[in-house]
Amino acid sequence: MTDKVILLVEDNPDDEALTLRALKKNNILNEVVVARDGAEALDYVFATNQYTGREVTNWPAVVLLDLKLPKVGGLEVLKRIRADERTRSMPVVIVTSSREEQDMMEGYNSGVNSYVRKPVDFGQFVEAVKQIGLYWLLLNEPPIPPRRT
Amino acid sequence: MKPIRMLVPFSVRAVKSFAQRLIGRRGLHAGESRAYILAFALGVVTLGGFLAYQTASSYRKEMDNWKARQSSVADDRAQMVSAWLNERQASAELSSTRPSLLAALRAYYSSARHPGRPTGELASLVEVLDQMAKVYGYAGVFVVDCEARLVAQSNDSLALTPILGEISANVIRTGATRIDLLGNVPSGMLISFSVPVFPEAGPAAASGPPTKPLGAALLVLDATRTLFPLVTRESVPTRSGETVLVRREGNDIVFFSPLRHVRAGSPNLRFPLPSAPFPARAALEGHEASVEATDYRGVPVLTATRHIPLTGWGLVRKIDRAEALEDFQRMAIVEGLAAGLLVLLLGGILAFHRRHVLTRVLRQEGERFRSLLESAPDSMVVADSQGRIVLANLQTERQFGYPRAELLGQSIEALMAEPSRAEYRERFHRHSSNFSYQHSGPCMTPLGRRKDASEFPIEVLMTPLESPEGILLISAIRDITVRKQAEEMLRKSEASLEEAQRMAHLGNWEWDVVSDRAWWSDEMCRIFGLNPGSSTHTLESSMNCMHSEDRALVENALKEALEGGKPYNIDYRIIRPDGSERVVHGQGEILFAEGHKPVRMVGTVQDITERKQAEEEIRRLNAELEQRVIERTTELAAANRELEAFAYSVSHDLRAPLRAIDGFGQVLLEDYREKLDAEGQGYLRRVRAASQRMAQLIDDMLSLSRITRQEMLREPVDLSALARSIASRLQAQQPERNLELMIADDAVVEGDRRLLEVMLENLLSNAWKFTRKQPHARIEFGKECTEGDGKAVYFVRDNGAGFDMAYADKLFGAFQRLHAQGDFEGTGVGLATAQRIIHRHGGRIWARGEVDKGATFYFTL
Repeated sequence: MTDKVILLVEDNPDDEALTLRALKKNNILNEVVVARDGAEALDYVFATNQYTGREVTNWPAVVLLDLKLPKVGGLEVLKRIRADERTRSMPVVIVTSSREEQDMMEGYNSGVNSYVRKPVDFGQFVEAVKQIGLYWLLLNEPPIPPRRT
Repeated sequence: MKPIRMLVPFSVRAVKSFAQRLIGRRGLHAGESRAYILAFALGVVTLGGFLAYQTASSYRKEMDNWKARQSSVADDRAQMVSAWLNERQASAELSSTRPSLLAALRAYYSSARHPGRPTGELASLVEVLDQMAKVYGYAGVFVVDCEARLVAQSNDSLALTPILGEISANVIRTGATRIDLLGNVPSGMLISFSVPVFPEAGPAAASGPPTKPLGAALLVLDATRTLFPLVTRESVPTRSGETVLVRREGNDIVFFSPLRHVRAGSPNLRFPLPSAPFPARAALEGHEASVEATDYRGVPVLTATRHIPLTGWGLVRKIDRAEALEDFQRMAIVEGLAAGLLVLLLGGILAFHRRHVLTRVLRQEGERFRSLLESAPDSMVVADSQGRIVLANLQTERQFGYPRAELLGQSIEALMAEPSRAEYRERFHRHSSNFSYQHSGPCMTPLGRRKDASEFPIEVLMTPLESPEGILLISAIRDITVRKQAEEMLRKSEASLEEAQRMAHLGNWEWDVVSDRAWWSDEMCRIFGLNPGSSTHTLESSMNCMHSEDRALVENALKEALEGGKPYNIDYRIIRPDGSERVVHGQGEILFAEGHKPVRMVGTVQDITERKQAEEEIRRLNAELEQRVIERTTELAAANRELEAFAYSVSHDLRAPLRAIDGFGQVLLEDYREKLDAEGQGYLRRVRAASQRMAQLIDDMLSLSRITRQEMLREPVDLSALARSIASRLQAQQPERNLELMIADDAVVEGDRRLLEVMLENLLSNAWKFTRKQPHARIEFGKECTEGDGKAVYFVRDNGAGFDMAYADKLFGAFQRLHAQGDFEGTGVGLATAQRIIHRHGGRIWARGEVDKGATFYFTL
């Protein structure tokens, strides 16, 4: 499963660094593609702009999606992914600081696969990342993307 | 009230009329008396009629009877007289044929040729004559020759009077027998039978030429002794009955038989024909009559007349009418007496009956009067002119408390209270001295006085009554306590109505539709700015008070009420005489007479100017308030939105830097451990701890705000089950703790499950936390008997650190803590959250505790 990339959508460089560190600490060696805002994330997912030529159906192993993002918000990104036939079943995990109920509700209603809150305690954060990686990269049988037509 | 008012004069009249009857001024009705008179008259007339008829018929019968009797007697006597005359005439004629007579006559004639020479034949003739006179009782027997000269006569015979000579001459001339009466005194009358004597024996020569008689024989009888007794003899004795023979002499009628009522020896009565009594004439004319007439005396008599054919005499039988009617009169008298007796009897019976009826009527009236008097609702007292009570009814006893016996004879003034007596006396004297003052006049309302000296208001109506004992006064006395009270109450109620109207600014009015007259209450006048009780009002004058803009409205309402019978209920403006404007609320409704004709209208008018102003003010304030609420709500909504955004932002943005601080702190510790001494590492740990605590604070703050913002969903919630699951979670977190848990069953409430779980979790984990240092920790969740208002009180009790009640008010403040962070960790949000949840459920939370003795948190929902 190491051939699959992990798409990390995160605008905060601190969080980005910490996430990458946590992944590394947990020996998750998959390539991590970082999108720093929602638009960029969508570009990657739908292979547009800088990611033109990428195979859309070549899904990342998991999308770690923050909610508060510049340009296009996390929930909007999620909705767009779920709205497209090619990406509808793509595993998306919201990883965010918020525990606002409305965010959780909307996330789940929009078809997110998991909702994980980023703990402040870095130890706990590392543990959370470990669990996510273990689960989505090892334990979970990934969905099969639709065939190219 | 009304019927009783009418009853008083009525009962006074009744007493008066009864009393008048008692003293006999009127007695029975005129009609009833007439009936009696009529019955009596009818009886008398019937009886009289019957009597008259009876009398008339018996009179007629009696008369007929008597007439028949007279006829019978007349028949008898006429027959006797005729028989006697016939017999005498036959005897005379027989005598004339005697041979001795013939021989003697022949001898007479032969000797005549030889005068003066008595012959033997003559002597023997006298002998024969004597013999005849003796045998037949003749008073004298004469024989005359053809020259009417006396031939011979019986001895002792009366002298041959010239009249006899004439008679005999007549007989010889006619050759017929005749009967003659001689004399004109009944007591001395003779009757002569004169017979011609023919030469051949008997009148057989009738067939041949009449033979000249030889002479005539005259036989004279004393009528007094022979004929008259036949007539005058009364076979049945009477006092006035008599039979009379009459005959005609020229133009006179002569009564020749003895008359009972004429002294014997008097000459015969003689009447010229026209003036003769009718019966005599009738008898002579041959009528057999039976009539009433007057006799020769001029006395009314009953007569029967007969004719004696042989002589042409008349026979009159008569009796005095008086005598004939004697029996009848006697009988009539007896009958009359009997009838009188009957009439008296009838009168007596009627009088008795009338008296009986009168008594009964009087008794009935008396009883009726008594029961009327007794049942009268008023005291009825009759007093004489001295004011002494002569009659009193039951009500008087009851009302004044005197037994009746005590009332009678007492002065009527005793029934009056002292102050009222003078007026009463004055009134009494006016009535009793001036009888013409018939009307009872206005009632007087003195105070009455009972036997027990208690006084009460009464009303007295006096009526004078004339009686044989002088003027009596009837007083009708009524207890008017109740009326007085009612009047007082009415007065009070009117006063309070007036007061109420004044306070409520509510006036009322009545309008007589027909006469267009309106009555306004005092307050009504005041509302319209007029003097109370001011002049009468009409529709026009009322309308003039209306505000010109509202006039049509009021007129329309009135019109609809008058035409459709619809009560109206409108607000309108009026203008007072001083020009000020008032707003009033008017109501009115029509009262209809039969036939749906509006007759009266009643209504109210309330001055609502102040109310209207107040309403206007309220409306304005409300509008203002509403505006303000809208503004505030908008502000609040904005604040809420801001708060939401704030919370959202805090949730996301405030935590990220903390995570960076904590994360990079850790990175430092991990990656640069050898470049930091122990003290530096300690500081880094503190940085991390501080950031983590701040994250906790942020979380708690957010959760508290969430509790407030979250929507509530009410449903039945089993608190007991919740408590058990929370406790087991806590225990799972710290399985090493030795702790006694007591959770009561059946604490089921209505509320938001999630919020209640948060609340309960806060309370239980609080208890859990503060019993940490207790070797024998005990936590209890239960339900206490209810509060005063019936609400269940739940509690969570522990035997942990407890708290000082002095700070109890700080317990539920957000981020307030009573313990050092070092002793017991926490942010001070748990109890604040619990309180907020309880409050959101409309409940109450409070705590009791003591330091080191534990704490109890009570809550209701």
